[in-house]
Amino acid sequence: MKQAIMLMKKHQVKMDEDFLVTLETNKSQLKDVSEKALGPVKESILPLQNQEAQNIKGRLARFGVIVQEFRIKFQNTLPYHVTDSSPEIINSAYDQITQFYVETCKLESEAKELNNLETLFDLQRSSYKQLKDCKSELISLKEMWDLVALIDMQFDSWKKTLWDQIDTENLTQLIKEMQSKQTNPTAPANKVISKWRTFVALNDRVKNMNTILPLISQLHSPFMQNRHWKKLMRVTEQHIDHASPKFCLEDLIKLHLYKFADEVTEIVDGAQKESKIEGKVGVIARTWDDLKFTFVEKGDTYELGALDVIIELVETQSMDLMTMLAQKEVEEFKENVSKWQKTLKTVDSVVEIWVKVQKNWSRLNPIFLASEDIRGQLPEDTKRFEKVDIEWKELMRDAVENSGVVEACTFEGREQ
Amino acid sequence: MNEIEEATKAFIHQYDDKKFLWEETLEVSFQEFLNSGQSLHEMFTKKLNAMRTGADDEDQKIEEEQDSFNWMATKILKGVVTRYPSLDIFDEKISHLTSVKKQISEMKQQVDIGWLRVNSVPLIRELEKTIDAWIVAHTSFLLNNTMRQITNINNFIKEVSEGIKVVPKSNESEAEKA
Repeated sequence: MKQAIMLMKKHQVKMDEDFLVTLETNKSQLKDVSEKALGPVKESILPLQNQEAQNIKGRLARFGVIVQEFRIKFQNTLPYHVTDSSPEIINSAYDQITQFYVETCKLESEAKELNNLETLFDLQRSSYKQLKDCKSELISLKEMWDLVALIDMQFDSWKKTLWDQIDTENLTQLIKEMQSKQTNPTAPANKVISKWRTFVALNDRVKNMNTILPLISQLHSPFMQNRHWKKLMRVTEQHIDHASPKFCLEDLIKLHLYKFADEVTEIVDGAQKESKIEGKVGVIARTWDDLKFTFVEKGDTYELGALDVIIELVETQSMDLMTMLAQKEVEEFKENVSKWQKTLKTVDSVVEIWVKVQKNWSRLNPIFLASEDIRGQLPEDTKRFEKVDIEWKELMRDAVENSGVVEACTFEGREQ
Repeated sequence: MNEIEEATKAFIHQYDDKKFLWEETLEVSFQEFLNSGQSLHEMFTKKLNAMRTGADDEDQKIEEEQDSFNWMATKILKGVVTRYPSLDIFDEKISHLTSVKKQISEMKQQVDIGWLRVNSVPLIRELEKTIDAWIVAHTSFLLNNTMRQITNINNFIKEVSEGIKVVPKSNESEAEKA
């Protein structure tokens, strides 16, 4: 004030009176009043002061008990460790926080009044640490439940996302951000609340979502068929209608997929492998549907043409089918794969016999049909050959007419 | 013609450093000036917070200090504006405004620029009035704020003097009376 007055004087501000003098007078008056108050007045009121101090001490003790009881009630009632979450639970938590906030403020106000009395009566000032703890915990509780409400709201907004619109990549990114900031237990802002079970449960829910999302991404696999969804339902012991137009993220969350991460991966991988097997068997079937024997004219009959392609295909595809049968994912197609394995085996053995018979026929044909000497010397054998020759020519005629390899080889009695 | 235009521009240019007088509103500008300072409460709280060590008994003392300040503030700072810049900044500002006032008063009242004669008297008079208002705004703030503090101290002394005039003789406490 003195400096302000000096400054005003410097700038020639008109003052009704000399404030410097007034200020000095005030100073000395204040000194007199203080001396009187702290000297004779204080001395004379000392007995009264002591007596009142005793009354205040009684009040302080009673208030101390109230604060203590309040703190116990506070700790037993407030939602530090509620692990479930729903709009009702969140509202109830907010109600409790508000109610205790009002009560804490009321007690704080009373504590302040008592602190003033303590100062006035030269008593040691009580700190009421419990009230301070209550206040700071109320703030932390409010922050924690705000976080629960925020994240629940976020998850709720995701839940109605339809199956084909779930952008797992984007959601995973959001979850990662939540984990690194909001629900990060090591973040300084979460230092207090990270020890409370409500926070731990919230953190677990976020972690579970983080586990679920990649699994959902896997379930989007194009190889997933109806049978795979049924398998998933069996594993999770839950029912879902994956073909429904309303099928959404919430349905998948209900499956608690985070408990079945390995099983989901196995189902999706299996679906992919099954699809591969299905594809390969399809290729084999198409190949043999189109594959025909070639024939070369030989006099009044035919002989088998080149067989290299057929033999090579039998070999490689038999190996493929054997590999497929060794896989556990073959189960769904086992019958078909086995059928093809058997068919190719038949083709292989029929072709082998056919070639052998053709070779013998080619060797014996000039002997028995062109040499009159041999026919004369071996009339019985000639008769037998003539019979075989007729059969052979008939077989070759049939084969030319129905030249499909599988058809020709699996014709009833062909192998005999 | 060009020379006259140039000379006119130079004549106008001499008012450039005074344009705050017609471009700014005194009330708004003065409030911004006050707000650029720190409030006494903020300064005191900052000072106390710097003293905090984390020890419970130390913090307790600091809280007592804070309470004591707040209590005194209700008595001494009642109706007093507590947020304003330091007195050095006030001094600087008032000195600047006074020097602007001097410059205005020393301006030529009539200037001939070639064939053009400029009569600056009305402008100078208006500017003198305006700069006076600016100076008064700053000085009267200091005056009123200081007067209010002195009045508050006077009232406080009176209140305390009145309170200790009669020394109670009875041993009956206020609580017992109640």
